[in-house]
Amino acid sequence: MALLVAAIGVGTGVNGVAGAGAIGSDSLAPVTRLAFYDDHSISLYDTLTGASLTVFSDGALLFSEIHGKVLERSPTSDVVAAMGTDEAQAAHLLVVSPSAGVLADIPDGRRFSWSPDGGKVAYITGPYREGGLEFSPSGLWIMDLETGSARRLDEHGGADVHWARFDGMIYVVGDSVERYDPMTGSGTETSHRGIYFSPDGDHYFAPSYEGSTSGIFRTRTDQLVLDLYPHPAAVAWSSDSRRALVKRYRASSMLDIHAGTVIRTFDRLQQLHWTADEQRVLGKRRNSTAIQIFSGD
Amino acid sequence: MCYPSYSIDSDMDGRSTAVESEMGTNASSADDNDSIAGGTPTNGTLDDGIRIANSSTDYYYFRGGDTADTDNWGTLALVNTIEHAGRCWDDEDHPDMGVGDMSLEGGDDWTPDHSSHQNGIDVDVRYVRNDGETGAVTITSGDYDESLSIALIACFLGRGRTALVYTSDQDIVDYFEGISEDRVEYLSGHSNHFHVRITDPDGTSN
Repeated sequence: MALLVAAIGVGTGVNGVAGAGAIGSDSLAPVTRLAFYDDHSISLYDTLTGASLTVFSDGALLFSEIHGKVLERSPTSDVVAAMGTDEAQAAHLLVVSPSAGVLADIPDGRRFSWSPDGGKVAYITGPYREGGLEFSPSGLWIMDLETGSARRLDEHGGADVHWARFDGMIYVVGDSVERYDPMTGSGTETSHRGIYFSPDGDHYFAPSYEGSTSGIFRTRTDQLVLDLYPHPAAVAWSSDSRRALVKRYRASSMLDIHAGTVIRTFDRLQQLHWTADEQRVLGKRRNSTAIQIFSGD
Repeated sequence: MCYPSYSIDSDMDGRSTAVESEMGTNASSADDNDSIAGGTPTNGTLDDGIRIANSSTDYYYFRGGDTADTDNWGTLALVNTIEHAGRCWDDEDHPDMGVGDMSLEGGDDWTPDHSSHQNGIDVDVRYVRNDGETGAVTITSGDYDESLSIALIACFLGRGRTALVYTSDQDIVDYFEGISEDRVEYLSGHSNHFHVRITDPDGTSN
């Protein structure tokens, strides 16, 4: 596999503030800069100043949630991992830095997740396919951003991947949820039904894959505690694991996990993030470049 | 367009003559329908499934990279729903409907390519191109015809057995909001096909 990684210093040259709370991330420390995308660009939005910094732009690549998760900021830096597709529908998993540009462009990179320390990215590759997932999973990999090397953990991959913070393990959705040890590469089948764990690991969110049950599950028992329909696509946990934002096309929601209730809904709000103090929610509406801010209660 | 039933199904047994030809069964004597959707779409089986014809009235089956005759199995109810949509779609002004993944013979697990499609009630269908050609198209392509794709989905929804449609085209979701009984849902991963699921023809208890 072709892998292009330029010299980088993850955690250096940037503000060093840990990332948290973005859809698809479960890292803990607050951030002031959040990653957003438009059709052909990726930017960092500073919640303190309201300034937006474009970190990547390429008219030949499309960033769109129609393929699933689009981007995720590193938990320890302003480096962003993002999946775009070109006109031939070939996928590119990019790792981009505000200061150093494109650090990696991984062909056929389809799903991805940062390691909790921000030094590695776990990802699933697969060629384009009509129907189904719209790609055929062909490998689970870990890329070390410091060395630029990639190591294959599994030759099959899966439908989705998440690197959990609470136990440091990599979880992959296949015919079951597999747990991989990133050190040894060994995989173990679990009874879980999803992979997006809360920071404390007590619950997890399962999005719907082709209509499978989506909701919040208790990790210890794999019991469904909050059935979510219409199906949400992604989650952003609060750092105390008590609340979660779940993104839907029509109405995203803020959930109280322990009460099992919906705190509030956000009409057609996409690209949801918590602010650093987790008192507000930021997002974009469809076909709008404006970032909107809502109170979190 | 209205077709006399016997022209579609010569022995009037519920299987079209095209499907009988595909399956090698006798089109002049009635066959029993033994197809059973067992379990659920994400954990199920397909007993005595029916293979759809490679082509018939305004539809064609494409297998993509899959081995021939491995992924085009369904319950008779699904096959009939597809063929009904094809007849609804029958018009010289637009390309035939492209029918893709259904279930494997016998159903069961089809991961990682699919989470569902396990019990013969799911089918992936191509969106419609705007150049009159059959073939693949994605909703972000300049060759994509959204209006015709909406019309094609309406053909499926017009068949009462269609329980839901998954699409990644938000305009399609908006179009059918309020008129489809929420049967059209947005789901990522449906940019080169929409997904149709019918109600379980033999109930959900088996």
